[in-house]
Amino acid sequence: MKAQKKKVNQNQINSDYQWLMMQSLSDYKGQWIAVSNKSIVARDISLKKVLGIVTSLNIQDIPLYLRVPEGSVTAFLL
Amino acid sequence: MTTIPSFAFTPYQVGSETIIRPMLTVILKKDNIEFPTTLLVDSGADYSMLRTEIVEDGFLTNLSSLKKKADTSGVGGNTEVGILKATISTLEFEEIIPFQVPLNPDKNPPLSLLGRIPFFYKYRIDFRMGYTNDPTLGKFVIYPETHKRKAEQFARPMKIKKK
Repeated sequence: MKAQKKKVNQNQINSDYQWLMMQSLSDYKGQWIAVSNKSIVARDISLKKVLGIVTSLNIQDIPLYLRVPEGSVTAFLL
Repeated sequence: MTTIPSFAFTPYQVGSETIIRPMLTVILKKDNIEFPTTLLVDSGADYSMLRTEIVEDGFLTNLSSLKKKADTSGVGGNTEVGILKATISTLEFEEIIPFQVPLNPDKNPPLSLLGRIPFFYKYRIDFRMGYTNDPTLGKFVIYPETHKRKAEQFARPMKIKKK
């Protein structure tokens, strides 16, 4: 994982998560996603692939990574 | 006056019902690798647990290299686990947590967990879910555990035998 060369901005991470809670994620069930600057910049069922996509992008800060649960849990939804 | 950090519950749609869950946004750190993610604050879990992908792909650590612990049991049955110590940090605190990691990825929990041991010995977590008429709103607060009385003044419940 080459992402460690980038910085983590905790305020940005928190802000991105607040943004994410306002989104419907039903299309991402069972997938890992990377969130940066209020945008989902990578998605895949494999975290390894998501990390690879992020490495190839010109993102200044390390994104927030999380896996959207599958099954009956369908989405973050407000 | 000290500000107590509060965190919004995360709403999940489960069938036709909206369930709110206490998800904590943290930065996991091991060696020089930082991995921002979320943990479910799970007061019903004895120990914290990470999904295997975070260990293998995020921290580049082979599951076979983890120190093995005896099987752990949970709602989903027994599974063999290894231990990975990682630091969790937020804007308010930083703690080293020994995470259990299932050695069989098929036994992964749906969400990575922050359990009681040792975190709940150091921090008090309040769940506040009924302060509005909207059941989809809630928050939880985390603050350092403090005691007004000295520890030795607390009596052990009579039915719990001393070791």
